[in-house]
Amino acid sequence: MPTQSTWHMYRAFAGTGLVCAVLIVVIFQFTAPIITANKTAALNRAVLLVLSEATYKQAFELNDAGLFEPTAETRIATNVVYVGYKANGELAGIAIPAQGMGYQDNIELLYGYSLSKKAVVGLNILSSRETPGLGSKIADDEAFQANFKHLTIAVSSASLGAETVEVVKATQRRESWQINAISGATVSSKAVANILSESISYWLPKILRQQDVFERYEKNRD
Amino acid sequence: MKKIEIKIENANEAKTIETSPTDEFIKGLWRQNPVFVHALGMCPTLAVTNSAINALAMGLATCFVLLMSNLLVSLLRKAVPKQVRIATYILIIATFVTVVDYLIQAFSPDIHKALGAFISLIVVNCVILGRAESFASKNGVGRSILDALGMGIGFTFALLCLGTVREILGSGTLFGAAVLPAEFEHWVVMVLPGGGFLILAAWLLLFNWLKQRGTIR
Repeated sequence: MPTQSTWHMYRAFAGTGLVCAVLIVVIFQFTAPIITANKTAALNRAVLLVLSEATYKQAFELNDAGLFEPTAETRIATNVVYVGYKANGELAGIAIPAQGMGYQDNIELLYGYSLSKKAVVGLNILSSRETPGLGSKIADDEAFQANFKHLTIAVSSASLGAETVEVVKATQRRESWQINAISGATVSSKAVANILSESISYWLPKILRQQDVFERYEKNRD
Repeated sequence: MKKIEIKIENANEAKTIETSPTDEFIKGLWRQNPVFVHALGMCPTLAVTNSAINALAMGLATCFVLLMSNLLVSLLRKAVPKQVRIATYILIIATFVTVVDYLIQAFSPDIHKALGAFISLIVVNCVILGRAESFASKNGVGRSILDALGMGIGFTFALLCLGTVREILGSGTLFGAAVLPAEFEHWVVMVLPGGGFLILAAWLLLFNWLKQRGTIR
């Protein structure tokens, strides 16, 4: 059989590449709106999950001047938090999205912080690609989820920095700033703790200084 | 009917074996099951079979990719020179895996969450490249489709064998519904990778014993 000319090789490989690229782009365009709608619905569900007392929410964006202002933003963005209100208009808490590196890939989560209780009151994993059966348990393991029903942050008295969440072995949680790790998923458990610590040390000072903005927004609504 | 020529060394005449199209489909289900006979695609077989619904979803996703890639490889088989064939086949397979990833993300975010990184790993599933290289590149479109369907369903069947046993023993449920009494102490090893190896070994033992019984009789 005569040697195939180089043109045949280019034609086959590049031609297939072109067809494949078109196919991927078509499917991407087709599914992108559906995927975005799914993510928004999941975020809405998650906010009400982590702030169990909230009946409705309002997104607040941190603008360039460092001030919170209400926004109609529906997707997860790095400068948006979701304030939950109870039916009587009181603050139920603030749902904050956060992300960071897990064992395999990025973990996206949403946690609820209650200003009145000064503690994290709920956690929901939005997306993760951790090991199925091990790290993936951060999303649905009941014992792990129970950690976040009331998790205070160890705050140094001097300033509002240096918040940390301490990870201990499963069933050894004694203090309210510790969380029980999942057996066999230490790295994933620690990743969640790190994500929480970093997020809280970034947001808590800003939120506490502008707490009245959230309360005023609610009063102005009525 | 397709004819395959086999030359027997000391004989003067060539023997021909004819395979029917139905045979191309049936062989993938049992006689040449990709997991239990060829021992291909071990990675997803062990990793995502900790529950029956995961096993089913992974099996169907692989079936889809196998079908589409066999189809395209067979269509292009005359135009792809053998020097670039593996690269081209991988390109085709990776494209369809990307497509199935987006489709699952759009139509079932829960399954996508459950399968996670393993959807992308379908690209390196040996079953798909194996069938593309050994069958689809040498046969017509119709037969390639039947081969893909048979192998895909056989693969899904194998995954379900493991998935159901592991879920029942490891979580006490089947497709999420409790089937064992609550007093049953879950065999946690069954949802861990070690359990995958143990159950796969048990099934292989059973299948080989059945095959041996068949040939002795």
